[in-house]
Amino acid sequence: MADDPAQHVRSDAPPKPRESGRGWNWLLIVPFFGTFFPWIYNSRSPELIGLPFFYWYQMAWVPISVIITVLVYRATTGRRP
Amino acid sequence: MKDVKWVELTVFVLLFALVSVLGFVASRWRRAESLDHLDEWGLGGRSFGPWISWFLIGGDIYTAYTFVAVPGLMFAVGALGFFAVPYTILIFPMAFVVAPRLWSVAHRHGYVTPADFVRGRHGSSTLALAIALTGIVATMPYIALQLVGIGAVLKTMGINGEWPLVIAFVVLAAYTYQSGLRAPALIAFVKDALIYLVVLVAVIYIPIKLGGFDAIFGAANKKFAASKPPTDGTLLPDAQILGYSSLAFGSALALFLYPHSITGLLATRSRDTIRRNMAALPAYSFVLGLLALLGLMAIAAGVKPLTGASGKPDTNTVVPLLFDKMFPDWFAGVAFAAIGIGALVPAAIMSIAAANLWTRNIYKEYLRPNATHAEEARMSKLASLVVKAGAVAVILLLDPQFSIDLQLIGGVLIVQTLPAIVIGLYSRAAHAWGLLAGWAAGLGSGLYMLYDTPNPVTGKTHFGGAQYALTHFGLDTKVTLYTGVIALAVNLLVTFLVTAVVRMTKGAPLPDQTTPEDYGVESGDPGVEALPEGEHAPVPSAGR
Repeated sequence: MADDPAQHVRSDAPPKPRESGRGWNWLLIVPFFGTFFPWIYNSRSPELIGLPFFYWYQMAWVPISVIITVLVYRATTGRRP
Repeated sequence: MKDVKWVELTVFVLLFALVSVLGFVASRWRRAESLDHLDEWGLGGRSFGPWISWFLIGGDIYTAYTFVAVPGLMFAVGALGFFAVPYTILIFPMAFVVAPRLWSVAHRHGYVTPADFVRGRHGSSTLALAIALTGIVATMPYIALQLVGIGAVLKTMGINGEWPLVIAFVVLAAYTYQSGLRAPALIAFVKDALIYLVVLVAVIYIPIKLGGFDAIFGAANKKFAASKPPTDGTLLPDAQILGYSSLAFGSALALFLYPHSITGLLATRSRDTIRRNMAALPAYSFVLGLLALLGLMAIAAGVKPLTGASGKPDTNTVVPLLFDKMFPDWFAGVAFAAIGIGALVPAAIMSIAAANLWTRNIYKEYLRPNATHAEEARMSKLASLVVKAGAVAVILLLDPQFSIDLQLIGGVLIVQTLPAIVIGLYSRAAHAWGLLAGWAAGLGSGLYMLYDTPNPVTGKTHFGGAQYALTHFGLDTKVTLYTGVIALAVNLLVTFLVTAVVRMTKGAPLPDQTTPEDYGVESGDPGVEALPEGEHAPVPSAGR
């Protein structure tokens, strides 16, 4: 992640391999199904360290959505030269 | 000034002074040849890598107002305030797919603002003007609200006058003028370090002192059961479920349409930087969820919000008061500084974004078409001062409630730019005139519905909230929907109806500057630094 100004200037360099396998993007819809329907999580039990289900369930989707997005990023990003 | 909390105030002022120095020093950071180009002043040289962008975009969209208003909402009504969590979970997967396309096309053609893109893609400067004006109008009250955040903190420290707010904004205006987008980018590091520190300490220390989450939710349930309106509680009432998810979804759609979010996106170095960030940014959502819970902790701690200018309790003071009550003075000072500095970063980016819209889409488009790059940069710097002065004036001269109403309206308005920008990023299926008609219909219907919404709790008859009761459509139900989503549906309907009519009457098609390949280019590809007309090198397709 270090700065590489050379990459920015080299406009005549051959293009890098870029995203492929767009089908993986469909995975990104999973967090939507997990959080968009409060009917499935609008309840008090099961509790976790005193937190009602409503609260910890939605918080749990934060790391899950990160994992999914990272997965899709890895799967769709070509290797760099 | 007998009730001033001196220890807290001293820590606050010291940290505030530190970031002000950083703001001025920022003009030398990653230094460019000169700042006399809008790409330099207004987009930080379009050079920020993944780490800086993470702090900058995070600092940009999680504002001080969020930090005080979301817990304030939890304190007042309970579960509904937690919409901020699904809202920020919904946004990033969407932005992961859409935002890189905007980056690519903007870099290919040198677009600085969303309206620049709309003009190039749809070939209509009138539509671009509509998008630019919507952006400016939606951003102004948002800047003013950052002042509300600082004001809440100052009030808690016992400082009630208006002059400290003015001083804070004058300093902010001075270093933004001097350093442009580099100032908030550098300050964002300090802001986030402080926020993470404070939130982590708060969510461990405060529940222990209050006897655990059981005790916290017990106290919250008791409070909500005793209060009159049936719409509150630590779970959602049935009638609010649809309102909750539509509010989360609509807010998610709006987030990356705000000009300041797009400024943050376009300041990144590469398409890959954005994709990485959309995977990493939800870390802030977790913090936001923890912050929201502070609203319920404040109930258990017995916090009584200070009285606002209107004589009603000001729930924005809940979190500062909780910190004041639970933390030792010096750490409360750190926490207040985190909120105060949290206001400066987005306020700076918002004023830069609004200034860029003015310069690119109004000044250069209509007043001085031949403006040079240096003139553009100078105009934007001046405009950023005007924008901030305007925000201060709004707060000092009008009831702060007015800004909160405006911000509510702003969210509904900014979603109406979605068809022109997001559909535009994928296709030309919608015609510029259709988009313009849809935009007008969305604005009109959105404003009408907001006007038509009373709030029984505050006793307001108009602009009482952004939840529109479905009884207005003849349905026998208590269910409400987020106004922005309804207005967007109207917008899309009109957009495609008018597009169909325009296509049938076969008017001359409007020009499109962009090619399908433009939407997939990465830095280093041929022509990413806008080539003159006719020199478009072939770019390999991005796989579609």
